[in-house]
Amino acid sequence: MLFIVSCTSQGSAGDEFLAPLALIETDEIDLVLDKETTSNNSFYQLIDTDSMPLLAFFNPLNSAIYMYNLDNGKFKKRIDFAKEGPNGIGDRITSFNVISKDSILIHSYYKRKIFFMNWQAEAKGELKLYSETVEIAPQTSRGAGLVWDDSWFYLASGNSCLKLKDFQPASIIKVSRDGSGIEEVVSFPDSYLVQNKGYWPKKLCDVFSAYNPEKKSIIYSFPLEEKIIVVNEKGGVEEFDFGIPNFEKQKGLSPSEYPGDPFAEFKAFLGYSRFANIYYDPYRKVYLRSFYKKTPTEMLEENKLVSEKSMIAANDDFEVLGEVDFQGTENLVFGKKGLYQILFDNNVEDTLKIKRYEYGF
Amino acid sequence: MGFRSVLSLSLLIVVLTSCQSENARILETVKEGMDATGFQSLLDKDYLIVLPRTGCTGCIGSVEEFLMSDSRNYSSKLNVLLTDVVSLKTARIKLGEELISSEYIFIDKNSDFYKGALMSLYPLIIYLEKDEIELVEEVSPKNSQALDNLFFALSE
Repeated sequence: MLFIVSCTSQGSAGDEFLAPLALIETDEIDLVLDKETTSNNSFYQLIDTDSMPLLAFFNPLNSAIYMYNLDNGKFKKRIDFAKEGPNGIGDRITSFNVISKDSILIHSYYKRKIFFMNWQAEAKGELKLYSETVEIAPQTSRGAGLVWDDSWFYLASGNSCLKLKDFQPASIIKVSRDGSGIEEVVSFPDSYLVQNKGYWPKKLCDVFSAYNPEKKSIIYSFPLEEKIIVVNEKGGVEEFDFGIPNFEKQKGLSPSEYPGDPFAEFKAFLGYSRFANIYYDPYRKVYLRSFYKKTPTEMLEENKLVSEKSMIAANDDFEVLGEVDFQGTENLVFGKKGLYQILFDNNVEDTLKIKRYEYGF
Repeated sequence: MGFRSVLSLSLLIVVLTSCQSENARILETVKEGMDATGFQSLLDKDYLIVLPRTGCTGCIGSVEEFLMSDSRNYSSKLNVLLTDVVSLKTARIKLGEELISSEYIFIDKNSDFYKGALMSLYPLIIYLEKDEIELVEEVSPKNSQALDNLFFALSE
């Protein structure tokens, strides 16, 4: 049975509207989890093989990658990694990429390394992500996985955007694959410069990325910036409009507003309209960019800590097609059969629930 | 009394007053949580560890290690509150079924304690004296001896 999840538009009377678009939920897949796995995993990847779509994820509780057949929900494979020793990958794995049947890249945040592993969990090589002279802790995340080309790995620098007055530090860096150097690729956009003594809540410093394998380009989405930033195949940097009409540009927090504890900081963050994850669906050649409306002050005062979300869709040339009202987790992967959303439900602890959607546009 | 002495005394009073008011805020949040959850015996012992689910990974990890290795020996003096426990299964996998079922471990599944003064990136060690807070130590990179201090106190 098909049913339409959503179909609303953005803006109020007098605003310019984006065309309402719909994603159509087609089915739900349940993956049966073992005793060591929960629905809160570090990273998800869809590997579309000739015979089946495989969903792979990293379980931080036992340092293992699990693979399931998404056509029937059946468990297929588990690879257990050591944390220490000659094949040890360390403790905080923020992303991985299964490249082929015997090759997996793993980013270990604490070790500040990318490990080149085989399917027997043996280390075949590693790349240091730090320089002796520059203090950096490069980051990957669910919203910004590992991206590389023939010469470089591209990663978020881990730099803060907390208080940018007169210069913008590197937001994206590239690390040469032979370990010979680290270079800046993209700095924080001008929209992050604050007047006087303002501050941004830390979560507004997150950067999100997508990769277009055909064009070999990397696309970056910054929370406060309407434009997306594209690093093309030749290393050139371009910008494209990919926002919503009447995006409200808010000011940084004044020193007196700057929160002293994580809870207050999170509330301050929710008080900003902001962009988030960007996705590229290579099968339908569509980009999707998440947008969160600022949470009204009255809701924040009542500790209702949610923001209304939608996704803006654009074609391969970044022409905005419209907007989809799409709620829930940002764990999205794309396959031949559509878009899969991996749900997070702690009330169902032995099952990982996944919804599949097709495009209504 | 010289100017410096007056200044030092004033500073001491300010520091003590602010600590006391912070402790009072923590106690108030704990009591609100106790009312919401029915954990009425939470403050019955000499020490209470409040362990958040997320935050300073190393700090949380060191407290988890203590819980798994030594805490049982001191369960007559110590209570442990696992707060913001979104997933019981995660807690079970990380700490073990036997430990999380122990009578001195309290699980705040609905995050009734994880608010206000208790919403911290760091585990808190609360030293109690007759239902009142005597001292609160954060287990943080700036206060890495907090667990050792607890260990010494428990061993006395």
